[in-house]
Amino acid sequence: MSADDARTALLQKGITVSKKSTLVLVALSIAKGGVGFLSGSIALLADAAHTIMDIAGSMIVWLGLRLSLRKPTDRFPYGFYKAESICTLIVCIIMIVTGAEILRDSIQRFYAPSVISFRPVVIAVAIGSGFVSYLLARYKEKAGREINSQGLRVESKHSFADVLNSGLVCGSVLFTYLGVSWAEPLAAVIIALFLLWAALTFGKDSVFSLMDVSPHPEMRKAIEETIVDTAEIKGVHALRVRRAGPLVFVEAHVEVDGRTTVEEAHAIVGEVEDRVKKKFKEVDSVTIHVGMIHNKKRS
Amino acid sequence: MKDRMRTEEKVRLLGKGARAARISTYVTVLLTATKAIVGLLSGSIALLADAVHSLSDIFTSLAVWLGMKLSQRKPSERFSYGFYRVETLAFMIVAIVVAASGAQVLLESLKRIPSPSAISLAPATLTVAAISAFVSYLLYRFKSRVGDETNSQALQGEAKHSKVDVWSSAFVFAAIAVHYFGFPWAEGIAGLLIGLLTIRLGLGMGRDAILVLLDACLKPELISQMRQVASEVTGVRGVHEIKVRRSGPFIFVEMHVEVDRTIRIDEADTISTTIEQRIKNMIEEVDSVTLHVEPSKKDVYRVAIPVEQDRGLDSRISEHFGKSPYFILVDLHEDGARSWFVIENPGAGIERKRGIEATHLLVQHRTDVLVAKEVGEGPYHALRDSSIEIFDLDEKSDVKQVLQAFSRKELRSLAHPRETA
Repeated sequence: MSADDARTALLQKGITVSKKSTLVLVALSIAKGGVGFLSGSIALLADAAHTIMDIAGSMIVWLGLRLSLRKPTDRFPYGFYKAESICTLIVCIIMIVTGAEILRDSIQRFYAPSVISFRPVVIAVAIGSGFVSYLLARYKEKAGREINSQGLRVESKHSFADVLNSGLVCGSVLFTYLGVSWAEPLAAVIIALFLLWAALTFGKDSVFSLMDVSPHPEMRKAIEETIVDTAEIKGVHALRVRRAGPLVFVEAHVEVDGRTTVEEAHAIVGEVEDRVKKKFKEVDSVTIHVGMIHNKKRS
Repeated sequence: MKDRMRTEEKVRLLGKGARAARISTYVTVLLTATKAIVGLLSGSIALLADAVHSLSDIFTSLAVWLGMKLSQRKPSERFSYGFYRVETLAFMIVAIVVAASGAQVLLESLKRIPSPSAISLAPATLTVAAISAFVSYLLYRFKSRVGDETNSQALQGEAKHSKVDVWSSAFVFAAIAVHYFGFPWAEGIAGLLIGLLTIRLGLGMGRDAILVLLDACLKPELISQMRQVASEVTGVRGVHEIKVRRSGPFIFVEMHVEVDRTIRIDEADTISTTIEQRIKNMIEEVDSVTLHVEPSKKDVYRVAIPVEQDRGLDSRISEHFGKSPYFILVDLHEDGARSWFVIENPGAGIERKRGIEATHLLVQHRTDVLVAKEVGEGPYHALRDSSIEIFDLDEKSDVKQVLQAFSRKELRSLAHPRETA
């Protein structure tokens, strides 16, 4: 089936993106650690350690997408798409913990400003890593939107927080020069709040997905219209749409004339299912129950 | 109407679960307050630490209470499957807290093995530990019972959580006794064991919660039971693609059912309703069944034709169904192959209900199609009820000719009973 192949290709693309970004992060972490070790900069070593958390998050999303690709089994008749939602939730929890930690540290720094070193190597690495993080954030956001993966999108926000962080390292030089000691911790608070906001937004989203939430109401409406847009179908009720990771499952009851034969009804429904799947590429399965028209008025 | 009642029943069950979680929250709060107060008054560090530990019990009880309350909400457009899954999420929180508290006990015990704590034999500590163990045991029994009754994983998990508290309290006693007999290191070892068991319990529960959230089918035996029940419904030719998933305490079912391709949707509706009712009657926790009815993909059709004599494919066709002395049964395969055999009609000679007798005979031989000229009203409906399609013989008189016409789909359905006096 071509629709299935298209979906597999999308998930495959997500896997490639998350794999590449994991590898880039590993390289970045090694570079920071190496430079930090050689130059003896504690700040860079700490940053390298922080990047390890990023690697963990990236790997979890990678794992989630890989699991999603598995074929349905007897035990998992709906496939493994929800693994993506669970992995997204785990990444969000990691981000909440990280964000809370940064928040705590930066609030402490209001009272006891840290001593900033002006070592050019630190600034150079910060600029380089900020640039790489920015590219990663763009790359993951684009792919995440394209394949409808919340995991990739939250990872993109994570990388964006890293960009802000690198910016902060450069900015702190300026702040110290200007003599505004409160500016640096304030910027850190803003970064922490950004991380917490992203984690809570996407965390809520993945919890909703695990609760069988409908995709946005417009899509539900559009699916309903696509189903009704068939001469023989007189009505739709009990339309149920739910998200599973990047995909969508549909169940519906449609009404046709009671005199239609099962064979005819099957052909009608088969055509409708194909139409829905073609129009909404994220729809994975459509189960339609055909019943007769409910109001028995017939002239 | 029946569905409405079932919905009310479900809300009632969830309400019962929420009430149990609420009572458990109150009791845990009381217990914690007692420990804290006695701890403060007596200056016992152990009791104060225990009170802090009980905070996690309050937290999980609250989570389950809230989860079961939210679960009762009616399905909305946004959450078209209802809110039952909140109960599963509460279960996951319980699992995480249990695993974390196990890890904490484990770490504490590791610290205590090299430097055993000095245990005070203060009667206040012992009394409170005894009361706490007893209350935890009662809570365990209570939540376990209501959890089974409401089929709530979260409450069952909470029950296990209370059971761990019983062990821990019992362990305080054991530690004191063992300490008294001069084995101070035993306390650490026992704590280690309890910690490990608790972690295992928490991880096991977490695994179950994640499986439910992944839409796994936790009870494969349900699928074979449902297949059995659905296959037994008259008119069902085959059942496949049964998908079962859990949401909180309830189960959602999707199923593909094969029926004769020529029956009408209003008839198929009756079959669907019967299957749905029987499944819901058999498995109480089933919330909804979505049946996809499709034409049977059967590749062998058994065609029955009433004949005058037993001369195989050359037999002369009998015009009347019930009075016919023999039937020839021909198995037509999709690829054109065919095989046949002739059976005697024991009802041919009797005065009344000949047609019904003949129908039973055909049903026994798993006939799919009957081609006849005259079928009385009684047997006509009996045959249709048994999902045997009836085609009109028209003017044909030769068995081979009939089979050819059937294969080419030239035969017309016999729309009404027909009988010449």
